[in-house]
Amino acid sequence: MNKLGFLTRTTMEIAVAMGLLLLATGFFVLDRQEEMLTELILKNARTVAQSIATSSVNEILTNEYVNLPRHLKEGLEQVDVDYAYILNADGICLAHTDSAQEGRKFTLGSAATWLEEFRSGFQRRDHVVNRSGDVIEVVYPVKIEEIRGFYGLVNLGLNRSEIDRRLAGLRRIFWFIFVVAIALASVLGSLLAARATRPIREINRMAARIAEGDYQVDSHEAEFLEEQELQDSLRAMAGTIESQFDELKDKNRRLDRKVYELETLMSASMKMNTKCYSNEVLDHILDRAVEGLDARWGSILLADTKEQHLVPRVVRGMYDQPHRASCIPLGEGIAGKVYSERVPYVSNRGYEDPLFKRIDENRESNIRSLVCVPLVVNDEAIGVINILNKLDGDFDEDDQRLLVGLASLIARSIENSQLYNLAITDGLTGLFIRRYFEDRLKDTLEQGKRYHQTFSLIYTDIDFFKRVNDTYGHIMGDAVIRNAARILLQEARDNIDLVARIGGEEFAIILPETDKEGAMTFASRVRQRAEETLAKLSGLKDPVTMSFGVATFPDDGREPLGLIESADDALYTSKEGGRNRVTSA
Amino acid sequence: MIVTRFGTWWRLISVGLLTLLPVYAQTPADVLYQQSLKPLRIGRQTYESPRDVMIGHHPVMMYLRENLPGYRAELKLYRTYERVLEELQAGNLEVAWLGTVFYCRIPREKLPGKPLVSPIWRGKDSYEGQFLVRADSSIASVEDLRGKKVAFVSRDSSSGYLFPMSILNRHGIQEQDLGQIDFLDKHDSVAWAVFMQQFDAGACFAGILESSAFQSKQDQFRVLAKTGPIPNEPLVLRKGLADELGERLVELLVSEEANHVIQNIRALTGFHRTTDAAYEPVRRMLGL
Repeated sequence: MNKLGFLTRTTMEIAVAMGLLLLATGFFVLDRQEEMLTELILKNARTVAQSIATSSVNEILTNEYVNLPRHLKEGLEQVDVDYAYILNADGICLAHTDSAQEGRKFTLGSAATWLEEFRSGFQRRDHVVNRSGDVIEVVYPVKIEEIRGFYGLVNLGLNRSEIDRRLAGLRRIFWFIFVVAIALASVLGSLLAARATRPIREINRMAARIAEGDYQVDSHEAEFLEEQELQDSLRAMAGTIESQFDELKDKNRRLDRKVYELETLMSASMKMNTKCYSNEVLDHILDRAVEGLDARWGSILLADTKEQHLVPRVVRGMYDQPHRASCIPLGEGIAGKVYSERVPYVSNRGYEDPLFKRIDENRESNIRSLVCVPLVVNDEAIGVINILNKLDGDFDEDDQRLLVGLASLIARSIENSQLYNLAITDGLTGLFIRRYFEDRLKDTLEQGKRYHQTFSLIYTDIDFFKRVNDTYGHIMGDAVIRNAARILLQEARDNIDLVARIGGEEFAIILPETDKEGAMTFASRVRQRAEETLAKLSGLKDPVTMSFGVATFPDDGREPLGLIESADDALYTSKEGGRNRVTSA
Repeated sequence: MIVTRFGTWWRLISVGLLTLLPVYAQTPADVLYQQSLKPLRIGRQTYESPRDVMIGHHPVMMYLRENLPGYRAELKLYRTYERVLEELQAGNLEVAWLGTVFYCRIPREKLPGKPLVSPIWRGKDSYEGQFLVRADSSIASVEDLRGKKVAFVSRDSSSGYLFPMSILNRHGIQEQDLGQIDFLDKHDSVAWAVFMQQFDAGACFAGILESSAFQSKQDQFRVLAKTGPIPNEPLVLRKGLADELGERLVELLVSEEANHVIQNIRALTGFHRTTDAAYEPVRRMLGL
């Protein structure tokens, strides 16, 4: 921004304008003054010459020249000359500033010319000014006007340098006045500009304050009606801006909220598209819900219709683990009411709300506000989502609307996962089917290659299962298979290990980031538990055991098929070795 | 080649003449005419303002210039008669207007020229001196002036001292026989001094009582004695100049036309022809 301020620019413009005006006027006046000074000096010289001529006429007429030098000297007291002299009509020098010239006849030069001109009457002017050369000569005839008689002349030689010196003095005075005038013009211009721009600067100050967000801007008292009107308009504009800005802020806030809601919903949707139903998806959605509602805690509770409880599935903030959270009976408390009536509920009274069911006084007394929304699938409630303690203020309809949207996604996710699970899980055991297992094995192996991670694969089956089927029938056989699966699931790590049924009584377990030793330990633990509990769980008198083959990537195979063959070979070895044992590949 | 060289010279001369011709042509004819005139310088002594005298005599000069072809009449002024005479004798003047007494005192053998004309002042070609006393004075004759207090004009004044003294001398009275004398410079001062009884008698120009200041008081004065006529001053033509010039000047100055020109100038009313013989009585009166 190289632009000048209005004040500076106006000051400069006034100074320049006045300067130019002064300069033009000054030059005109100086020129005129020079002319006048020159004329004055010449006029003075002419007057002196005339005076000398007049006082000398009688002496010249009577040829008495004794007093002429005195007349000349007295006359020259009035004027500064280089030289001066008096000639009679014959050109004889009667008096001269250089007395050596007296008595000499001036027959050459301008003096002789003027003499001749005056004598002959050829020169009609009363005096002559010769400006040529370094000297200005003022010549006045000694004459009697009435009879047109010419008797001599007086010549004053004015030194031009003297005139120039006076003119130089005049110019110095002029420049001094000019500089002083310019300075005064600058000061005056500055004052005028300051006065002229004061309303603008005041309005500018007010506008700057408004720009900074101070809409109740004060102002100095206006000096002019127009300034007052401008200030009033500015204040009115500030008021309008303030109200519109507030409105805009509100709209912006709502828009932000909408955007956030959309982002949250989109994020949750994307999460859902990439993940099947799992605690990971629920964790993600709950995190976004807590964050989006600017709250402190949150939880997702799913209905266990068998137990008639709402069971905490995912919890954020309030409890470290879901199983530590309390189960809420269906129809009781706020969550139970929301579940049964499928109507969202917002309470900013927290645990003091009459509907609130107190289970753990120590923890729940911290609940100040909550919003609870049902999870509905095909017009049937499957659980609720709770968001607790808004950090700043109370929950409102926007919070409820966002949570309803998220709840819809959660419900849809659960619904989808249920359908998907039906496709990839075994109907008898709930374990993943072989095809899904193979896909996951392939994925895990690729991941292991990329990140140089080890993992283990365990093949297992129920020893002498054909004998169980033959002895106890297929129903009991199915029960044994179901209980074996249950043992495997209980021992496996949630959301980490993958347990699949890959044949009639054959199972496979993928243990990510587990080396041979870990896998052997896991297999040994499962084998021992199966030996101890499988028969009992299945209601059989005879013991039922399981054999295990353990293979580890990459030592036992770098491809899915190779790894499977290694695990299968190890399982075969366990079978050959007498069953109820764990064999490493 | 020769033809060519002559042609070149002629051309140069022609160019020179043609160049000078405009310069010559630019010079006014009257300037050339004035430069060709002979000077006719008339010298005059004056106690009055030379400027006024110059202006007063200008018509006369112009009259002479117009009527005296070949001459340029010009008035020259000097403070003393001696200077006028010197300039005349030095050849710087052609005519000298000398005082009567001054002329008469010039030794005859040294006269610078001959008188041509003499001015007529207020219609008179001569003047007189006189002794004035108050009408009621006890002084009845010149002899009664012995031992009296007498006022004169100046020792150079012909009518105010020189000729009145000759009257006293004829009556045997010398200057020292008078009781007291004083010189009052002006003729009217002498008359006033007598009227105011500051002096018993006074010597002055005979026409003083006819002046406007004393016309109403003439009966309070009594003329005790008069000097007899004194011819007015002569205009002397320088010796050696042509008589024709002198004669022509006389003709011009005594003519009727000249009278018309002159009559309006101060007290001068004309000129009359004169000769040196007219001044012999004065010389005798002065004892020369």
